[in-house]
Amino acid sequence: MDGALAGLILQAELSDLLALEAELLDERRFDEWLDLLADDIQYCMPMARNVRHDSLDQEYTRPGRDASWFDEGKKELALRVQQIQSGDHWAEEPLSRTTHLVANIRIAGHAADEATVHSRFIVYRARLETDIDLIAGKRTDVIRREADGWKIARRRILIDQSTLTARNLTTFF
Amino acid sequence: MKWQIPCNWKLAAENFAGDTYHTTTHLSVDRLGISPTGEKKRHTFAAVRLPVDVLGVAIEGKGHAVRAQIYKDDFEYSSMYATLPEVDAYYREQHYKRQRRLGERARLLNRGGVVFPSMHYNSAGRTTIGIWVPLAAGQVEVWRWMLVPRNAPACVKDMLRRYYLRYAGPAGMTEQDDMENWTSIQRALSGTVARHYPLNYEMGLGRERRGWPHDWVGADAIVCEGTSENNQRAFYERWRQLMGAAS
Repeated sequence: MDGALAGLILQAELSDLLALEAELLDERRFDEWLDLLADDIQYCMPMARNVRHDSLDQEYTRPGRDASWFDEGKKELALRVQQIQSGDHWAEEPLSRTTHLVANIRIAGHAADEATVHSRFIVYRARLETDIDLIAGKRTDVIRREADGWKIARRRILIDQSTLTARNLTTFF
Repeated sequence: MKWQIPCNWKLAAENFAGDTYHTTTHLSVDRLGISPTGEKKRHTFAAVRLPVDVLGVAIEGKGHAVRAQIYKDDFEYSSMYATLPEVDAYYREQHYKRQRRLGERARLLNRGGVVFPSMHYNSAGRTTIGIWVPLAAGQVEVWRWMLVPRNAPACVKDMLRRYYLRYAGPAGMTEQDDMENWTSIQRALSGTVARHYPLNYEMGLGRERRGWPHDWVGADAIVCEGTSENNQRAFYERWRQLMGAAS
């Protein structure tokens, strides 16, 4: 029973973390969002390809080797935040309005101070008058317990689109 | 890399043909310094004062355009990868190898441009080729390939990969602002007032020179020194010819 209870508590804690993260992004509290990331975070969004049914292992590009939409660490993510906050980053001036819906949260595994967490998302982005982008996908996170709380240490994002219908990716996933 | 932009393909094409004056588009990324030099600005060569002139080169009658830099006198390698010694050593070696292979012609650096009508490329610290695929009058799809030198060390390939991914494409901190502006321009052009006035592409008109500053640049090269719209005029002139031609 203890194990099951501990599992439920972990699920609740990490679900709350991911919900908080979505709130911070939607409220443009980007500096606080950066604080949820471990200093050594690897943040990757591979690209999808259209492949034969028997070649699905090649459906997504390989982080660290191939092209990806994002393949970066905290330094680059912080630069992006700085750019969004600059006031003359035209792609985010005026700022987009986003809603990050995160669901299907499951703890796929956990050891001492780390948990592997699966989730799915829809990010709705409205920009200018009528520009709407809807991007759905899946995430696999490694979330680590550090001295000052849970931090996202690794994130792999798989979006469903191959050709991107949005003209930019100026939010985080 | 494939993605879509809600603008006419020619807005993107003319940007690659000759965009030397669009600095205000990229104020935000230049301030951060995203190039591998670790310094301000987005281009590797912005971190050093390369002893070059800027040239806009159009190939007569064809619509092709090149954004070039040409070394004036001093032809030595300027270290652009101070934070990455192994990368810097590689580019230093390549600089002089290229000089030995091309001789005087190595003075000319082709930084990017268009192969008319819709092929575009960049080779300014990162090498890419691409196609603008017109989907509709107000929509284009981009097909973009990033190239790395086959025989370069892994650290060079990795540097290029990561630099390119944060520079260009929908997640590119530089190109995001180009695309936002093309989108807005596309919409502004459809207005009643905008439709009454032709766009002005006269920058540098009358300053063009043929096969300049060296004969080997080519007799079919129409060259304008510095910032100009020489390239855009050549691109649109060829397009206009083809659009007006009898089928």
